[in-house]
Amino acid sequence: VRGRGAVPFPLMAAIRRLTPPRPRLAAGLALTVGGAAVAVALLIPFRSRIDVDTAALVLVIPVVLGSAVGGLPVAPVGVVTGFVAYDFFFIPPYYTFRVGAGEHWVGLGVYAVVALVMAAFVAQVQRARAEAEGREAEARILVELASATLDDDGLDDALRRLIHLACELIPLRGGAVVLADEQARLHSPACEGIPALDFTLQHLAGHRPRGLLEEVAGTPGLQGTPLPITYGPGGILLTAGSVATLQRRRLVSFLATQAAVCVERSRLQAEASRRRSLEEVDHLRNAVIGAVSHDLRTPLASIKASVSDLADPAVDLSDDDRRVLVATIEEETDRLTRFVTDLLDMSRIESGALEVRRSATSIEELVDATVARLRASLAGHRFSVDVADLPLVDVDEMLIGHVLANLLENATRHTPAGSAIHLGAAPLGHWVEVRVSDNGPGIPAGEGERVFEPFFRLRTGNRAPGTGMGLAICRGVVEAHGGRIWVEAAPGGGASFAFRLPILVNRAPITEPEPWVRRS
Amino acid sequence: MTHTLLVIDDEPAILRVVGTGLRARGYRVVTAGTGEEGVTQAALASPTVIILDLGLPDIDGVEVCRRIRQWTDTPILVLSAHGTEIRKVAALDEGADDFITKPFGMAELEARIRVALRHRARDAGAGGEPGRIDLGPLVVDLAARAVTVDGRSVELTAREFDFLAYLARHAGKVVTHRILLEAVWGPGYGTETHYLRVYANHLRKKIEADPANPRFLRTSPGVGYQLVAPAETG
Repeated sequence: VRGRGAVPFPLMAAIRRLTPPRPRLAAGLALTVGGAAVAVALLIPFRSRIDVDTAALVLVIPVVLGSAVGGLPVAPVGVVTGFVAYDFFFIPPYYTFRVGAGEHWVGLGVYAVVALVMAAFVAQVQRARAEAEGREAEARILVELASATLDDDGLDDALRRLIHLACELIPLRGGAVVLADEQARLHSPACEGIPALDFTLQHLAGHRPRGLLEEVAGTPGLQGTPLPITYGPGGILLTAGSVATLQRRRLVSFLATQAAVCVERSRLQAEASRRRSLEEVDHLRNAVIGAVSHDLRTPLASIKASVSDLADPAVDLSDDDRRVLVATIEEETDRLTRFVTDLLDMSRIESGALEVRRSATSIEELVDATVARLRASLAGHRFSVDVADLPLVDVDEMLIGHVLANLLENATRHTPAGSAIHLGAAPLGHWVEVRVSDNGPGIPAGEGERVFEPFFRLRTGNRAPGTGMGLAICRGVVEAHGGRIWVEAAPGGGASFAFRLPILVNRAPITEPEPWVRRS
Repeated sequence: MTHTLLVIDDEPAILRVVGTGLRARGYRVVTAGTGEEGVTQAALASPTVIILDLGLPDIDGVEVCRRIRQWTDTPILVLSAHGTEIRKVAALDEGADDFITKPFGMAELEARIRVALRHRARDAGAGGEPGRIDLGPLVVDLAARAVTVDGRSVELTAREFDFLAYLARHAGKVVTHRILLEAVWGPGYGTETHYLRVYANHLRKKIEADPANPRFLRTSPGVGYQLVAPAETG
């Protein structure tokens, strides 16, 4: 993991080479002049015995060495020095600048040309080597900057890492990325070493990036580079520190590109995930529309077929047939009514328009009334009730009665005839907990929450009768009362639906409304 | 003769109502509440027409269609709902003969059943004159590539004749756009439905007395075409 500020050691070495070693002019000059002096000193004792041209060859050495160290500017100095020394010490007559024989002019000329060419060549090689090292260092920095943005941990972190690395590697005194949003407000997710940037940005509010660029252009030591962003609002890279060399300008422009890539990638990712969730919503909406139209159309189909038969004088219907058709019409009309009512309840709950008429309610009475109402559908099961002595709750009697009925009907629908259904209610701290348990197939693990989603049924392909909205409505109602509803596995198999309602506390059940202002 | 009808639907109310209405009209009715049961009953009860709902809890209606078609040509009338057009067409491609959209009146359902029975009877009786399809006033002679309406000969182009002949060979059945295009124009033309519109218009001008109100060539918008023998009046 590349932590902030941890610049690997080999990289530091590369950075040192990034600014090519400035040719050490003084050392070069000293070497070439000193070298010439030493050469002269060494050669003088033998000058009667050696060839004049040999001295010229030896005197090329200090020029080349000096140029290698001090660069090209050393070469002419070295050549002149060597030329003078050669003429003065080695071309007879000695210790004069006169040149005796014509051939010595040729020697001097050859010396000057050879020394100059050699020196220039060596200096050039040196410079090329330094440049190559510089390029290598640059490449390593580019790689480093590019990989700084690869970790997938959010735009701001990536930009901060990028700026931090850039400050250290290029190096910069400071750097910052400034981004505009849709309303052209500027903010800086990543800033290092640029004081009072946020303050400046506040001042430039509403100015768009161009305003900042102009501002920056008037600030010495600070440069602004527009980010090449093509998707969404633009941004600017601010850098503090010298950008005198071509290489540094290249690095800064690369930094800007990299920041832009970061910003765009993050924007496109956000866009993609927004699209995905829209698609999911769309898919769910289609499924819901499909389910609703199926549930509305099915009873309508039966009603229409029945009515068309009853209305057709050509069809010879027996009295029994007529009874069957009329009964079907009634049942299916009830079914439609139930479905439409549930749909309306559901939409009221979802839009927050559910009206809760609270009153002090006894759960025991509510249980008795509901069980009495459902006697017929509960008759097929072994049904038991265990309701303790309960405090009053402050609820809408009708709505909670509906929840209770719904849970009981659910239990009868989803369990085989003859199996046990138990209804219990008990006080529990500040709550009254009501529980409907059955011995049916239960709810598959992990689906405990999803059964409360509207139209959950449609995702399981379960064609049990019912509207698929019952539990969602129960949840809506219970939560509107500040309570909670959930399902767990019943001991011994089956499902156990429970809900809690807050106990009525510190409120006298019946009181005269208090006047706003009490007069004494 | 009493015809046996098999009704496959998972809605008890529909089974009850449709069963009652069809029995009152003199049919014997067998019902099935699931696809599996439907496939079994199609073999056991030897129905003359099968009425199949597409939305079944166990196997998809299209699959039921395919399984039944593996061994019998008994006409299948598909019950579909709005929003299931794609599956309706798939069922027709798998060999279903016709469809009716819920909610429907019983009279309309019976009319469809009668069309299916008529063509089934015609198919069963075919064999007198091979290569000749007799749809009441409309006679298609496949061997001579000749068509007559009310005894009057009709001039058709080769394509028009192929178009009509394919529908005539499958008279009573709703032939989907894709099947018709691939049969008449060849594979690769499966999506060029505008060809069909053009040829259907030409054909109607030639064989129908009132092209705007066709007796023989019916259009199922978005689905396909159906050639029917007009019911004998009286």
